[in-house]
Formats: sequence, structure tokens, C-alpha cells
Amino acid sequence: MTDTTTPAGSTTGRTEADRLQKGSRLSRLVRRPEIGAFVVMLVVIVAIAFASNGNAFNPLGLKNNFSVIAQFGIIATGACLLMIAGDFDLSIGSMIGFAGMSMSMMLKWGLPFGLGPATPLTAFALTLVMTLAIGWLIGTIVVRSRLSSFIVTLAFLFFLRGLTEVCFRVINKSTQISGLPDFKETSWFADLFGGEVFGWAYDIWFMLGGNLNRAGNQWVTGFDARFLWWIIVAFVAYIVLSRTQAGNWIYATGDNADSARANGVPVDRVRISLFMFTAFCATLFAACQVFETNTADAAKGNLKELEAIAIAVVGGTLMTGGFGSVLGVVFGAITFGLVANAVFFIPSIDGSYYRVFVGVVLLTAVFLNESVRKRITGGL
Amino acid sequence: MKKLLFASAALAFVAGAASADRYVLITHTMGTDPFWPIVETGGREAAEQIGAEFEHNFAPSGDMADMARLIESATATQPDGIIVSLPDPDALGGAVTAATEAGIPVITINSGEEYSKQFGAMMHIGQSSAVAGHGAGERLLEEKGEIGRALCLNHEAFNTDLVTRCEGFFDAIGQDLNMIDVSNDVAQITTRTAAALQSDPEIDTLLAVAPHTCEAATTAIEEVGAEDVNLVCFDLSTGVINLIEAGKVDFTIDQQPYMQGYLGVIFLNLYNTRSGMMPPIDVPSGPGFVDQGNAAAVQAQAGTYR
Repeated sequence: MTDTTTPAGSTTGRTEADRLQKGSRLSRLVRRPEIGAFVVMLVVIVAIAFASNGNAFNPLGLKNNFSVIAQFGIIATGACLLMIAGDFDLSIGSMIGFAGMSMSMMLKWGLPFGLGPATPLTAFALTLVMTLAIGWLIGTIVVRSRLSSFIVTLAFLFFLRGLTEVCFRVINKSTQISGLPDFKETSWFADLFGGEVFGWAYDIWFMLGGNLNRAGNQWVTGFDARFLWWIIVAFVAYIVLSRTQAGNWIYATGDNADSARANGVPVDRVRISLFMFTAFCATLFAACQVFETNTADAAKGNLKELEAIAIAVVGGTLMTGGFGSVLGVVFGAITFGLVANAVFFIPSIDGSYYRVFVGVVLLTAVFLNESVRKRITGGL
Repeated sequence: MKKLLFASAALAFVAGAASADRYVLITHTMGTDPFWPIVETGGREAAEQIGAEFEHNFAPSGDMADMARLIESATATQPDGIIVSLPDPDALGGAVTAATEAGIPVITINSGEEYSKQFGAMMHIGQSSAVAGHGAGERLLEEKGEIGRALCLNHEAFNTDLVTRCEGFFDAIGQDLNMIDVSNDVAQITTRTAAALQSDPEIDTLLAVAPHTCEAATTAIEEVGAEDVNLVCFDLSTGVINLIEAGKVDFTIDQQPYMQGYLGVIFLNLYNTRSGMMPPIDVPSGPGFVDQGNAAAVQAQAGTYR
């Protein structure tokens, strides 16, 4: 959260064109591309806080909401960068399933080719090598074949999900692995993904007299580790996108690949790297779940690719590429995560309504983003 | 078309004459459900024991129309028996009737017991969801004396069979149905369950209709600090059995899926080789209960046989 507040009023991210503009801080704020996502997020936060009697933001509510938000945020960051460069990845959900299967399978049955029992580190590393290779393959196919990434990744959506199922059935005889030992107790590496972070925040809260459970002891001891991973992923993506040459390359690739190539941007390498980045995000998502719950099943990550794209869109990323921001995706993930989870804090509403709310929020955010974008770009 | 049918029928006849009995198992849902591999193992091992061939087919799309087509193409190969799950009688009835009218003995398993006979199937092997849910409610009432407000955790709110489980349970404990959609994502199952427990502190009983929901629900119960909440689950996994042994889950309902595949093949074989031998009524495969008493014994076989 801390990284979301600082740049709002400053002049970060705005150069050339802004020099000529004279305007108040407010009018500059209103013209930021993330403003639509930010407003929707505020409305959702306030509405849910009231409707749930504050339950959604009590110690456990915060932890759990951020657990869901961080999950969404990790994959949506990958999807956002890729969409800015003009591509889609529909294989994110299946990649999550594949990575989860691969890790849990190694932890249960040992490394492939008789390399002996797996540790969380080797299982993760080997899985990451595979998923990055698949990401590279997807990117290479898209770049070489000049087919739409929509089609190529759709193929991998089916391919990877099917492969995951087959591996489970053939090797494990069951499409589910559960009852693995609790690796985060014994391995620092598993704890990095499945453990807790920011325990000090809850400790301080407890010392200040809050954070009490029904018995009067300290209630929650920390956020899920994926919260920190999300912050890291979002921060790195933010820096890369808005502070580096690579970021400019990504925007240029999505805006007009031909003129970008003519100006010396390594368009193909940019696109392939971004497919590998979404594969990395999916693997991170899977690692956090596998090492937290010590389970995996063949349906893991189902439909997550669409949720990732929805969040990127709520965050103001354009479907056609060339426009979007990581900060917007942070707001989008918070909005989407809250809507998907916090509805369950409100007893008077049937929980199944959450999909209705997701749809409403998605449309509202897109309309708002569209009007903001038109204002910024002068009606383009 | 006629020629093709004739050719394939002749081919099937030749293949059939050359080898042993062949039984086909056709099941619903996409391949991700941990339930069906156990049924498949049951059928395969029964076939091995009697020296028959065994095939398992399912529609990866999960679409009922695709499944009906699978039944039709299985019928076209003239197997010695078809074992089929029947979740949607309207979509699958025609294909099953066509199979039975073609003279192929059919046994329905898992779901659809009310329609089994109507389509000419020999018998049904399965667990009635309403009976199982009801049984779970009765048993919990018996153990606890009285139950406060209950909540059903459903990971597929559109799956009528799972809703029936919840309804049977609430019927037995005399409450109105109280159910939430917890999604299929393990992180969100935990957070949504925790949210529901926090928003309504009067909830003291949870019914989880699947093993992964059950495991995630225990995390939620611990987080909220509501250890006195009763937790009853459906179906088995290694994790659930560990939780039963640790006293965190009261009991789980086992519909003993292995039996559905195993008995299906055995009964069809008896019918074919022992001059039409067949049990006169449907055979229930569940509900079986797994609690602290038998958890250790079930443990060793969880996920493959149980």
C-alpha cells in the first residue's frame, strides 16, 4: 500500500508534454491514468466497510482480503505488462495449475529422472525452469508465426490444463495431492512463499490494544507471504515500466510494433520476455498456494487468466495495447479482490451475488477509464 | 453412412470375437475431479481380476451433449457392457436408451438413480445425495445433542447434486438452507469461510461438500478462533483424514467410489457369464462414514482406493 500513495501528487511519470501545461495539482491529479481505478476502489472500500460493520477491515479481514488481493495482483501485473505490449496470455490459469502440479508432484514423488527426493527449493527451481521455457515457447511461437497471441495462448490454455490432468492421473492416480508434510515449518525456502510477513505490524497493533481474538490473546500474527511478493512484483514492474528503457520499449511495442522496430526497439525480445514474465507470475502464484496449504489439484488456477485480464482492464490497461499503468493495476487488484471476497462479510447478501458485483464493477471501471483516457489523450 | 456403420460393426465384431469381454466406463465432469480416478481404478482392477478389457471415457469439456456422444460412440463399438454416470437424464437419456435397446447391458453409477430403470439400465450403484446429507445431519445431531446455526460451503454452487447434499443435511437438522459459494480457489475458500464465520458468530456447524473445501475450512476455523465449530465433510483425501485424526473434523461421508467402478464391472460380468445373474435392487455404495475410529485404516488407501 505504501508505494501507492507517494506518486499521486508528485510529477512522476509525466515529462515532455507536461512542461508546457499550467495547471493546479488537482487538475493534474484528475488527469492521471489511474484516477478511474482509484475512484472505483475508494467507493468499493467505503461501501464494504459500512456494509460489513467494519468486519472486512478487522485484523483477520485485512489479512484475508490482502491474501486474495495479492493473488490477483501478482498475475494481473504480468497480464498488464503483456497487454501494454499488445499481447494477451490466456494460459495464465492453466500455467498456475501446471506449476502447482509440478511442484507438489515433485514434493510427493521425488524429482524426475530418479534424481532423488525434492526439497522445496529444487522443486520450485525446476518448475520455474519449465514454466519459463513454456513462456519462452509461447512467445517464440507468437513472434515467429505472427499468429494472434489470443489464439496461441488459447491453445496453451487447453494444452497445459490437459497435460496437468494427465500427469496427475498417470503418476499420482488421483487428480489431487493433499496431506504433504508442512514444508514451511522445516524449510526457509517454503516459508518464503507460504509463511507470514509483516508480523511486526500486527504485533504493534496488538501492543496498541487491538488485534484481540475471542479469548483476548493476540489474534493474527502476520500477513500471508504473497502480500510481500505482490508488493515486490508490482514495485519492480512499476520501476521497469516507468523508469527504464525497457519500459519505453514495452509501450512502443504495444503502440505500434512496426514503427517501434524501425526505431530500433527489439520488439520480438520484448514480447517473448513478457510472455516469460506472465509465466513467472503464474509460477509465483502457484508456489504461494502450494507452500501455504501443502495441497494441489488439477483445477487450480481455473479461470484465473480471465480474472487477471479483468483486473488489468479495471486498472485502466487498454485491450489494444500501448496504454496502462502498474499503479492502476494495484488499485484494480484491491477493488477486484475486495469485491470477490468481502461480500461474504455481509450476512444479509447471498454470497452468490459476488459475481454480479464483479460484473458491475468491471463495467463501471471500464467506462470511467475510457472517459479518463479520452481526456488525457485528447479523444484518441 | 450405412456402409461405414456396417464396417465399424463388423470390425467391432471381429475384435470382440478375438478377445475377452470389454467394458466401458463413461463418467461426467472434466478430468480435474479427484473422485473419478478412484472409480476408474475400481473398474480397472475388477476387469484385471476377471480377465476383461476396460476403457474409461469422459468428456474433457464437461458438456453433457459431448458425454451423450461418447455413450453413442461406445454403443457403436458393441462392448459387453457400459457403466455410465447419469447426472443429467434429459441430456443423456436418449443415448442410454439407444444402448440398452441395442442389447448392451448398462449399469448406471453415482448419480441418476431415479431415472436408471426408465432408460432400460439393469441397476444403479451409488449414493443418494439427499440420503447422504440427511444421514450426516442425523449423525451429527446424535453426537452433539443440539446444533446451532449451520452453514454449507459449496465450491460449485451450480452443481445441483452438491446443493442436494446441503439440503439433505439442513433437512435433518431442521433448519433452512444456508449456503455460500466458496469458489474453487483454495486461498479464497479459506478467506470466504473466515468472512462468513466472522460476520455471523452464531454459526457453530460447517458442512463442506468436498475434501479441498474441508481442508481450507479448518484453516478458516483456526484463524477466526472458533475451534468449537463442528465441521462435517464429504468425500476423502489424505489431508481430511489427518484432520479427522487430529480431531479437527468430526467425520466425513464416504460414498466409496471404488465400489461404483468395481461392482459395476463385476455385476456386468456376472450378468454376461452366469446366465443373467443380477441383484434385484439398486446397490447403495454409501454413505460410509470415516471418523476417528477408522481413520487410520482408511489413511493408507486414501486417494487411490478410498
